[in-house]
Amino acid sequence: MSNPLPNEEFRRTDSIGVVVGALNDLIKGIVPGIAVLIGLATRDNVPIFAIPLLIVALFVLPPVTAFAKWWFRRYRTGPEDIRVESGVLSREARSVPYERIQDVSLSETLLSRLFGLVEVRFETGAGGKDDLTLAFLTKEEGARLRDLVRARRDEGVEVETVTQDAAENEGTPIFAMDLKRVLLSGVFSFSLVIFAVLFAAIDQIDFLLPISIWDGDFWELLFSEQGERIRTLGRIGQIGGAIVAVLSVIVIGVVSGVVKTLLRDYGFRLDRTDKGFRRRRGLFTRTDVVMPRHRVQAVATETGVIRRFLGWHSLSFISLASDGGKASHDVAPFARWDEIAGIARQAGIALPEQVDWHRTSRAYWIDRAIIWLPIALLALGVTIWMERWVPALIPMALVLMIVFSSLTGYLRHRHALEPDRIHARAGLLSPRTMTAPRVRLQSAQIVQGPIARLRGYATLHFGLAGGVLLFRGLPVEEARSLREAVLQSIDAVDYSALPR
Amino acid sequence: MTDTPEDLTALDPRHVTVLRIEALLGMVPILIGAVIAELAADLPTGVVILPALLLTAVVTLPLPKRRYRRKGYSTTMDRLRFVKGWFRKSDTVVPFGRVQHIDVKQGLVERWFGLATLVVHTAGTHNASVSVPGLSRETAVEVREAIAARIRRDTM
Repeated sequence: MSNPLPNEEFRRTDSIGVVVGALNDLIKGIVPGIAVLIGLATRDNVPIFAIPLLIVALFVLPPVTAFAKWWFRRYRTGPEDIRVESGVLSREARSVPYERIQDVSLSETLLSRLFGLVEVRFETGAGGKDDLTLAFLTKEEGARLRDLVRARRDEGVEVETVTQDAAENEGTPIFAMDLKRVLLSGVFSFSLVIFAVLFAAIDQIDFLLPISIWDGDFWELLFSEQGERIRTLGRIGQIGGAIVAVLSVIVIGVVSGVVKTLLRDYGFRLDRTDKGFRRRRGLFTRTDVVMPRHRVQAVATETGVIRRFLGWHSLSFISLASDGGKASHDVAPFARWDEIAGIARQAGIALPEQVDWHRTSRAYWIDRAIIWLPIALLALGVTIWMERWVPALIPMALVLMIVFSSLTGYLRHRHALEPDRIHARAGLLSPRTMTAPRVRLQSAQIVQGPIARLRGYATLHFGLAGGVLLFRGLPVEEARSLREAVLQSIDAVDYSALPR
Repeated sequence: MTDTPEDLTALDPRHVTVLRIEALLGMVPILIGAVIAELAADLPTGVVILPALLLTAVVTLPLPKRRYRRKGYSTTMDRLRFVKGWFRKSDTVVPFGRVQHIDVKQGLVERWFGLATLVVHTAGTHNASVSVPGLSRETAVEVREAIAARIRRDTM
C-alpha cells in the first residue's frame, strides 16, 4: 500500500453523545412512565417506595446507562480494519475489514442534529441487520471515517463508476408481454380471493344490510327456503343447479385472476440497461424497478401442470433486495422457455438445459413417511375405539396425504452440479428450479440428526444471500463431495472480487 | 481422551467448565421455582426438589462434557470449519473469502476463564453468523487476524 495508515489509538465516541443517548432513552421512557404514574396514583395502598423507584428508573437510569455505554465503547481505525469494542460485563470486539465495507452512511436524528452529531453506519453485505454503527460522532469525524473508508477501498478495487444518466437510458428491451399474453397469464392465476374480499366487505358494512352473515338463523332460513325449492326441482334440476354453481365459481375465479394479473402486469417490459435489469409494469400503479445485474444471486423458475404442457414458465431473480415484500424479483411472469433462458443468460446464470440430474436418498423419504405412521395408526385406533368415523377421517386423510407426499418426494427432488453452477429442482409435473452460481454461495453446512446418521443421509444447506438453497436427504458421501466442489469454487474467488 | 471427529482442533478444555457454570446459572430459576412450589403447595419434602436437583446434576455434569467432546474447529485451507452436536450433528464451513466481518465476544463467564467466542458474519441468509465458542482469547484473536489477513491478501 502506498500510504500505510498509522495504527491509531482506541478512542471513544463523542462525549456529547451521552447527552443525546440519555435524552433518547428519557423520551422513550416518559410516556409509559407517566402512564404507570397515573396508574399508581389512582390506586390505594401503593408501596411507599414505588414512586421514588419509578422516578429513579425514569430519570437516573438513562444517563447512567448512556454514560456506561459511552465509557465502554471504543473504536479504532487500524491499517486494515475498523475495530469497535463495547459491552460492560460481556465484551464484544468487532472487526470490519475495509474491503468488506460497501458504503458508509451518516444519519442524523432530530436530537443529534441539535448537537451537531451523526450516527455512522458501516454497511457490509450482510443486509443491514448486523451492520456496525457508531453513535454518536461529530460530523467532521463522521466525514473523516467515510473518506477514510472510501479511500482505502478504492485503492484495492477499481470501483466501476456508473454515471447517473447511464442508468437513465432506455437500454435494450429483452422481454415484454403484450395484452394478449397478460390476459392469458391471468387465466392461469385462478383466484378465489374475491370471495374472501366479498365476505370481509359484507362484514364491514353489514350494519347497512338487513342480514347478518354471522347469524346462524339467517343461513338456516336461507337453506330451508332454498332447500325446499331445490327439492321440488327434481333430479335433473338438482344436477343442473350443482353444475351451474360450480361453473359460476370457476368463472368468478378466472375473472378475478385475470383482473388481478391485468392490474399488476399490464404493459410488462424488461430492459437490459448498463446498470442491470429495468422492469416496468402495472395498469394504474406503474412500477419501475432497476435490479443491478451483480446483485442477482440466483435465478428461479416456476410453472404449473397445464402451463408446462402448453410451454409457459416464469422466471424470478433472487437477491438481497426485496420486491414488494417478496424476496424474489419477478422478471418474466409468463414466458416461453427460450425467453426465460435468454434472460437468465443475460444475468450470467444459465438455466439447466442438458444436465445430469441426481436424486436424493430413498431412505430419507421412507423415514419421513414412517415418522407419520404412528400418528396415522393412532387416529385409526381412536376411530375404531370411539366408533366415530367422520371426525377421525380428516386427520387420517391428512396423514395419508403427508405419507404420500413423503414417498413421492424421492421422485420430486433432484439436483445437479455443473462446473460453475448448482441446480435444485422440485416437483414432478410442474417442476420449480433454482440455479445459483457456485461462487455466489457464502457458506456450507451439513446437518445430520440421529436417524440421518443411522441411515446415511444428510441435509446440505448453502448460505445464499436473499434465498434458501438446501438439499434434504442427500446420501452423506454425495453431500460431502458437493460441498467440497462448491467450496473449491468459492476459494477461487474472493467476495470482494465478485462484481458489485 | 477426546473423540473430536477427524482432523479438527478441540476447543479449550476450560470450555467445559464454562458450559457447566452456564448450565447451572440456567437451572437456578428452576431450582428456586421448585423450592417455592414445594413450600407453597405444602408437598412432602423432596417431591419436586429432588427431580429438579437430578435434572440439574444431569445438565451440569455429564452433558457439558459430552457437548464439549463433539465440538471442534479447524482453520486449514483458508476455511473456518466448526462441528458440533451430539443429537443433531452440524458441520459448517465458511470460506475466509466469504467473511464479511468478525466479532470476538466474551461473555461474563467466559471472561473469568479467559475464553472468547469468535463470530464470523457472512452475506448469506442462512448462516448469517457462525459462532465458534470456547476458544482461548489468544486463539480467537489469532484466528481473527488470520481471516483478516486472508481478506486483505485477496483484495490486494
